[in-house]
Amino acid sequence: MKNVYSWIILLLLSLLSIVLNNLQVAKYGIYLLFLLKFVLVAWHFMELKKAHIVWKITLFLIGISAYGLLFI
Amino acid sequence: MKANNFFYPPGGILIWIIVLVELTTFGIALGALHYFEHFEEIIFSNGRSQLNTVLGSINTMVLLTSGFLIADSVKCFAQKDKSLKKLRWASLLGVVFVVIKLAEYYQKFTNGIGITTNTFYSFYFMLTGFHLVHVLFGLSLLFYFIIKHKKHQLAFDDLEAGAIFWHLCDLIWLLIFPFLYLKS
Repeated sequence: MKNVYSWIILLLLSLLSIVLNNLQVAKYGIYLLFLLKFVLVAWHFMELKKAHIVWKITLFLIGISAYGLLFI
Repeated sequence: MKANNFFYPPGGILIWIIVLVELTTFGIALGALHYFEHFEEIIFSNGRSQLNTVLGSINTMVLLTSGFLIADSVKCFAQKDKSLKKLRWASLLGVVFVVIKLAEYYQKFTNGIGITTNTFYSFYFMLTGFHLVHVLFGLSLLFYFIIKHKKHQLAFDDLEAGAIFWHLCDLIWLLIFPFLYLKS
């Protein structure tokens, strides 16, 4: 995926989370949107897709662990 | 060297070790925030409601756009397009982020809110303050790259590693923003 498409998706996800937050609905949906943005930035912008699988798994585990706190 | 070699991830192993250490550190801090929130739910809820979500959201989009421009700069540089116009725009957006953040702090200080106001604001100022320090360091790297580029001395490896650090700032913000700004 080209970086520009990732950027557009990231902005749309940001706008969606703002709208959802103001509506005070889908709290967990907003958290998932942020996790998705985290993955997109790491995968495409940081070129994690080109890195060894150990780096991929480690970064995803950290992100999922941090966001997982929001669900506790 | 293949990019998917464990010891040679994009940007180099050192910057990725830094990325993991920083994310883990901020993750632990967020865990502490989450823990303390259980004991002071009303204070945390009130604190969040006093934060400027509009400015925070604008900052989110500023950093995302800056990250996109940096990522594209690296790609262009690798493809021998040495103009790096996008790098300059990314740096400018970084400055915009800092200005907005300082405006938020000013808003708080003029309302008598500081790091010792309550537990929520201790976490708020510490988390966003440390993040701001990272952004300022990342900005200094970007300015350094712009200067080096003008002298035709910029190396791709340095630019790639610096870009990874800038994206780290983005990732940290994406982590702390929902914990601090979004209604619980």
